[in-house]
Amino acid sequence: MIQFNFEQFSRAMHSAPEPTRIITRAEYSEYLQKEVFDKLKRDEPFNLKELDWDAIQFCHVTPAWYEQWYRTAEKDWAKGLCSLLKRTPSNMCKQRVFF
Amino acid sequence: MYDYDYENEVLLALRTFKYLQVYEPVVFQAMLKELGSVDFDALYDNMVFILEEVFDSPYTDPELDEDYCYGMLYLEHRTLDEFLDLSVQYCDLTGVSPAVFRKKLQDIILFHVCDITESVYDLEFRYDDVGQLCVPIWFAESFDVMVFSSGLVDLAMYLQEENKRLQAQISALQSETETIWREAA
Repeated sequence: MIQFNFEQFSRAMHSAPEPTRIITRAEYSEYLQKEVFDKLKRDEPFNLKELDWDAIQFCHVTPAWYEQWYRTAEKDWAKGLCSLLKRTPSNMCKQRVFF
Repeated sequence: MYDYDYENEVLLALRTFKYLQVYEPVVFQAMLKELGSVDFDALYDNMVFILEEVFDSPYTDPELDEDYCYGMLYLEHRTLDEFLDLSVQYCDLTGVSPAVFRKKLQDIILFHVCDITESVYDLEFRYDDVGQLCVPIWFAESFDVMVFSSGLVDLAMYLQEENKRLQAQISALQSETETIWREAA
């Protein structure tokens, strides 16, 4: 029979890895302004081959709202998890079942 | 930030190119040769072509689709297969059920592809005989190719990091097992 082991559960929770941050905070790039956006504003094309891609970092090509959008999605997932846990039988009977 | 009406779309397109430069240099060089000089419209039009190249996805023309679906693609990527391969190794060493990792991968895909992009009408998780994953994705009417491609880029980057972490755990477990065997001998 499968039994809930609180110690193992607790160890697993404590050994959970740090969240991997793949979304960098948006930063302004003078280079992109000059080589891409100023040209687009004048309705001119820009050349992808001529861009210095090593000078462009992920933070320069991340829109300002992007990080906030991710945070909102993360919060929504946390809320979904809470809602799921509230519907489990142990919480519904309002007494300690597992530990 | 850059005082251009469509700066978000352009930034997301450039973000996809930056991902290609860092993680898929061969595809990146092919894209540069193919595209060269672009304006905003060309960036938008070519993003589907880039998705097809990177995510092995034969893209169905939106006009061919029926009902509420705007179009579809089959998501296949080496990071997905690497994750599943590594998870099998990890499960062999620890006795954890592979179903746990399959569910985890599904959650990762749902988070990055559905919740972030808000472009998905429906998707399925299909495993073939050798355990490789293919995810057919049907687009919603709110499909935005720039946001969607950026979501896929985030998914690929997240999985690269997750695979590194899993690989490190497997190496640690293997060396631990070797030590135990050596001591026992």
